Amino acid sequence: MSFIRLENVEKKFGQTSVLQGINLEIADRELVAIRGASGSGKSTLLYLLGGLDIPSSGNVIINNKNLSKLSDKSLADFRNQNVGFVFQFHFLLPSMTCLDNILLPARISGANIKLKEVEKDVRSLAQILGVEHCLTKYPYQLSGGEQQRVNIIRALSLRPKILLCDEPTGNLDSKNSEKVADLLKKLAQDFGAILLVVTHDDKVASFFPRKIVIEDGRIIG
Amino acid sequence: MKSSYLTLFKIILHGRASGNILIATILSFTFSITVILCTFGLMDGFDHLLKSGLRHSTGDIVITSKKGFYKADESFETSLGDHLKNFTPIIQSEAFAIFNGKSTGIILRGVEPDSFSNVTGLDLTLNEGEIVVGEELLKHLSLKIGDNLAVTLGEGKDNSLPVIKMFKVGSSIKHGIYQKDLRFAYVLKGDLANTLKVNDRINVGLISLFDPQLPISDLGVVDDHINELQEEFDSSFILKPFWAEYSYLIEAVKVEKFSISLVLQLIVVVAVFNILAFVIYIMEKKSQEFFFLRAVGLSLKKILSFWLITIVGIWAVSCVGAYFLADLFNLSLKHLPLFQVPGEIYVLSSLELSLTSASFITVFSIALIWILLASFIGYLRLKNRTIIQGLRQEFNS
Repeated sequence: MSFIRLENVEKKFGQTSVLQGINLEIADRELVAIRGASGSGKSTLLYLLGGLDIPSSGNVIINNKNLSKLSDKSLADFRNQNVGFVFQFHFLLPSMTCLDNILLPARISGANIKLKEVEKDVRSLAQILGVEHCLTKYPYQLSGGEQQRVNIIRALSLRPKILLCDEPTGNLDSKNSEKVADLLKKLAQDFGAILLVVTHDDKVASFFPRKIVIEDGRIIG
Repeated sequence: MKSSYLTLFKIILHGRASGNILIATILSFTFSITVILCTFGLMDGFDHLLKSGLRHSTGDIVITSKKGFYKADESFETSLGDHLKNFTPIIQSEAFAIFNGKSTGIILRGVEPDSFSNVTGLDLTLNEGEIVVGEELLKHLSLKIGDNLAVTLGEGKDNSLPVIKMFKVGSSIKHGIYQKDLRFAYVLKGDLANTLKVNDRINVGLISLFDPQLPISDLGVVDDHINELQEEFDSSFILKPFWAEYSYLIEAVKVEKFSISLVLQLIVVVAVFNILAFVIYIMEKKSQEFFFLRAVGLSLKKILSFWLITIVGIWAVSCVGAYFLADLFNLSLKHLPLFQVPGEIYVLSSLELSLTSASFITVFSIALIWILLASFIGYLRLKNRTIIQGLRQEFNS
């Protein structure tokens, strides 16, 4: 049975249709790459899957919840408790240390979360990813690769069911891109999460068993 | 919610500029509220002090006669009926006070101390041959308690020469109205009756309708009593309310209060601009943070709650600050020479703020409405952009 189901999803920005007639099913723990040219609508699809936006029409159903019908608060709780985001622009807040950045989702969560346990998890994950020394530093003190790894730790800090990555290797060279892609795959498997990676890089896409191709707002493969 | 609120607050206040602008906003809002409170307080205080000062010198109603002196006999008291709480008979005459070669025109009043105190609420102790002078008169003539003051007054008979009487200054008295404190002096009614040879006749009667220490909120009640009393007396008697002498000032304060309240809108607008500046600054400076937090699970409802708590907090701190600043201003008005008003211009010897709970509630609630409106604009700005739009704009710029 599919964990994520999209039924005839359409997304418009004003008069411009970015996604149309999207029907898609993704199973639990599936590892998927979404490929497409720039402006094809792949990032928009990812944001709809993460509850960052709602479709103009159609349904986005995740774990039997229709995201289109959730209130803003329920949608916010859904994002907090089920989805981890890894963005190309890492979105690390410059005014906070990396540890504080990582703990932000836990701190604002409405769920009953024990911050100390989350911090413990975060520290061990940081050790695995080799960025433990970065936790007390500010984002501007880190290299691009370190920032991306901190970004990944933050996305995984609340053990999400879905890990969404928008061009996670967009700012990295090919060697590092492959390393990050491999890392994301392993982490998703370890955490038992669905992994959806938006990329325009064929080599990165090749790391994942399932590939979805988008062109002009439609799934073509 | 508590921990997410604290997290948000830390994010908002992070950075020196944010902290400074928050303090500046609170200070400007505090001062704006204080200015409004103090202005209303001053006008209400002026009104209150003027009325209470007038009542301290004339009771609630003054009865005079077109014929001059009259007898406050049994039939007179019967005419007063149940309208009065207390009545005091007075012999009042214009006179000159002379001391150390300096003279000034005064109103000399012959009174019965006990009934006078009951009607006016002023504590007046008089012995035979003694005079009690207004505080300003004491200063004006450089008098000291125990000095002998010469008072010149007409004997009341045609072609007679003025009579000079010596009185020992027993104490001074304060009505609260500069002109009264400068002109009024009191002797025993018997002393003045003998000098003027008016026997048991008087020319002024003072009536109190209510406790002189308590303010009268509705002046119409006094007017009603006057109308009823006027029917009991023949037309030669003139009954006037205590404010008659200064009614133009009371009316002027009313008009001024209205016009100043319009002018004060400017101060409110300045304060609102300050708050808007704070809200816009935070929204601009911290919108990265807001949009990212929304992406990782902060709902608009939580952001709205956060804004409400922050804004209400700013308002509450400003109100408390304004309360204490107004109090400080009131103390300064009473005690610092710099803040003393010139009595000859302002009628009153001193000013003080009169701020009731209603004044505080009115000013504070209007301030709250303004501050909520300002912050709502900031909230709408955030709400009208989707998370994706916000993230892309804020982090790519």
